[in-house]
Order: sequence, then structure tokens, then C-alpha cells
Amino acid sequence: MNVTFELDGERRTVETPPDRPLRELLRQECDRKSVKTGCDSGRCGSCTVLLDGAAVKSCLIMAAQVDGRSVTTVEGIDDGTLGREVQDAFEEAFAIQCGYCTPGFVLSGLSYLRDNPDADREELRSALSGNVCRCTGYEKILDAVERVAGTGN
Amino acid sequence: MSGERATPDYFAPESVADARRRLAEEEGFVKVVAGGQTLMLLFRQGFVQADALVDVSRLPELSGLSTGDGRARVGATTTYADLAAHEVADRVTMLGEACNGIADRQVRNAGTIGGALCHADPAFDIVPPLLCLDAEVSIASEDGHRRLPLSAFLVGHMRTDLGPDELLEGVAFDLPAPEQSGSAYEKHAAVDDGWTTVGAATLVTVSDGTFFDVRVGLTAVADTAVRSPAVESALVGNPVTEDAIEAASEEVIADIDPLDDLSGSAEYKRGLAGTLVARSLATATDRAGGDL
Repeated sequence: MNVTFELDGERRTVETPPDRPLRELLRQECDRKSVKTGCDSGRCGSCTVLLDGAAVKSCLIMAAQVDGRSVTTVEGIDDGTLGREVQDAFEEAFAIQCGYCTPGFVLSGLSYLRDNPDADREELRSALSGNVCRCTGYEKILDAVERVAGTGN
Repeated sequence: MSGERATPDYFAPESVADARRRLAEEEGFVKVVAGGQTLMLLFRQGFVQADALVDVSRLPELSGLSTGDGRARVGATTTYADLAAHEVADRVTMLGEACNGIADRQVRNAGTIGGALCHADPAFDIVPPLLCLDAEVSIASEDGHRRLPLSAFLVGHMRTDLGPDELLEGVAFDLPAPEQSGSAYEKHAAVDDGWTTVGAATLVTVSDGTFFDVRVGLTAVADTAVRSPAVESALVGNPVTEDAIEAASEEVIADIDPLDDLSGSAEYKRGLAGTLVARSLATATDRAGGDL
């Protein structure tokens, strides 16, 4: 089937089996390699993208379900936006080690901060619980997101 | 058949009527798609091989909550996040607590209430609070509408009363009176927000220092989510005391039949169920204005 959706601000039409994971559609057909494959079972959050602005795991979304909707990856984050602020904060707070989980964390953090700009550390810890960092750099990641929330140092 | 998996036909109906028609007309094994948070895993693991998919996830008629005449109606494709953000989840605390403990934000943004009810996994946290509310499901097909109690809809382990041509359209319940009633959901999981080992939903009404009405629902301790009439009847009519809660909570073992599995032994879960019921009852009683 053909799926037409907005990807990082650009309208795309892609041919795909309907029950394919969105992640594969994004990585293979749309060359969005920032959308990572981790556990393939909805646990790790490496494949997180924004679907109509809400963070979802793209391994658990059926390709057909994005027809007519909007998908954002880190590759669609522009200068001067909250998303860029989050990305910069990850760099400044040393919140990146191997980097594999980073796109997922940035998008989860961004979507939560958009709705909860004054979130405190405990709220952020819970908000980011769907993303796993195998380097275990959680405190640095929380430092980064908290910095944007304006409650850090 | 070769090892190559056949691609299912996919339909995105324009309306609920269109979805009902499609369910009646399609041959073979037809699967309704809502949030996909469980279904995608079942596809990948090869547990579900559908001939056709009917995707109701973008039908506005099926999504969202409404209240009126003291009743709340939850559309089948309302997400956990939608429910948790609604005033109903503040008013009926156990609903918000159950929603917010499910998996993580990403899953709650996509997973739906109707999807959870139809999958009927006894470990799904949203079901026991709805059982406590005596919720009723509405079901439709080309042959018409029907309603039945959620307790009758859940017929066994991951089995429901839903026919192959039928669509679950929503779930509805009477809102508890705000005065003198309180509710809570307590669960244990090996990790925060993890898969539930045991969960306990309670809804309590107190009157003149006495338990007037008590509802107890349990997660992951039987073939389906279950109520515990033993605890409920042991408490109703008794004075509001911690001792009464402790004694009644021990009765829960009469209504549960947990399994030995990776999350814990049956014996452990029986003990855990009593503890969580007591804890949940104490919180619900406190919220109901009961003086423990």
C-alpha cells in the first residue's frame, strides 16, 4: 500500500506492507538512520519518534497507521527550537556516551518539556523511563533535560 | 505455504459503520487494529497472522471521553494518556493511578483502553479498576448493538465474548459520588512501570464510620482480571478500622488462583495480593474521608 505522511516537515509517499514497523519504513525507505533499532520489543525506546507531536516507539507503530499524519525524528529538529535546546543541553551536560540511545532520549525529553516546561527532576525521571541507556548515563541525561526545564544550575 | 509471510489486506474505514461492514464482509481471520502496542509484538513473534486488518485507530467517533448524567463513557480508541489527562482520572483516582503505571509515556500515548480490554491479558492494569466500577462494554456489528458487563465480556485467559464480526466501541460506568467515596490502585512490578506481578484496585464508600460499599479488583492473579467478593463482603458493614482492613484483605486468597511464573511463585503472589489489597484499601478509605 501507499502511505502518505509528513516526515520532518516534508510530505512523503512511500510504498510499504501495512504491518511493517514504522521504524523500518523510516530507516529503509526514508533513510532516517537516527531512528535506532534496539530491543525490537517496545522496551528500549531507541526508536522513539514523535507522531503528531506525541512520543511513540516506532517499532510498535504499524506503517499504515501514519497515513495522513506527521512524524518527527531528530533529523527534523531546527535551529532556534526547543528541540535544538535539548540537543545542545545533551552536549553541554556530557549526556552522550556511545550516542545510540540519544535520538530517542532527545525526542522523549523534547515532547515532555513541550507539555511540562517546568518539570522537576523526579517528573523527568518518570517521563524518560521508556528510554534505556546501556552506557547507564542516566544522571547526565537527566542533568541535560533538567537544564532545559530551567530547574537545573 | 513457504516461509514467506503473506501480507494482510489493510483497511482504514471512514466511519464506525464502515468498520462494522468491513468486519462482516471480510473472509478469513480479520484483526481489528487500535494502538498496536500489543498487536505489533504478536505479529513479530508470529502469534497472530491475520488475513485482513481493520484499522479503527483514526476514527474520531471511537476516541475520547464524555461525561453526563453521572456516567462516564470512554471510546474504545481512547489512549491511556487521554484517560490519564481527563478529569475523570482525577475524580476516580484508581483510573489515573492505573494508567500512569502502565509501561511508559510512549506506550501510554499509543495504547488504547479498548485494545487492552479486547486483548484481555489478566496482567493489564486498566481492567480491575473498570471491574470495580461495574463497567459495561458496548459492542456493535452489522446485526446491531449490545451491551454487557465487562465481567461477562472477559470469559477466560486472553479470551472475550467478542464475536469475529463485532467491534468493541467503548466502555461506560457510573461515576462514584464524590462525597464519601475514594479509590486507589496499588501494584507491584519487578522494575518501576514494569509488567505487573500483582495489582489491586479498590473503591470504597464510607458512611458514619462504617464501610458502606467496597469493591476490590485484582490484576495478574487469575485467568482474567477478577473482583474479590470475599474481601468485599468481609468489609461491608464493618467499622472503618485498620484491623478490619487487615483481616478482610487476607480473604482475597479465596478469589484468586495465581500461577508460578517468572514474575514470582503462586505462593508469593497470594501473599502479595493480601498486602496490596490492604494498602490499596487504606489509601482509598483515607480518600473517602474515612478516619483510620
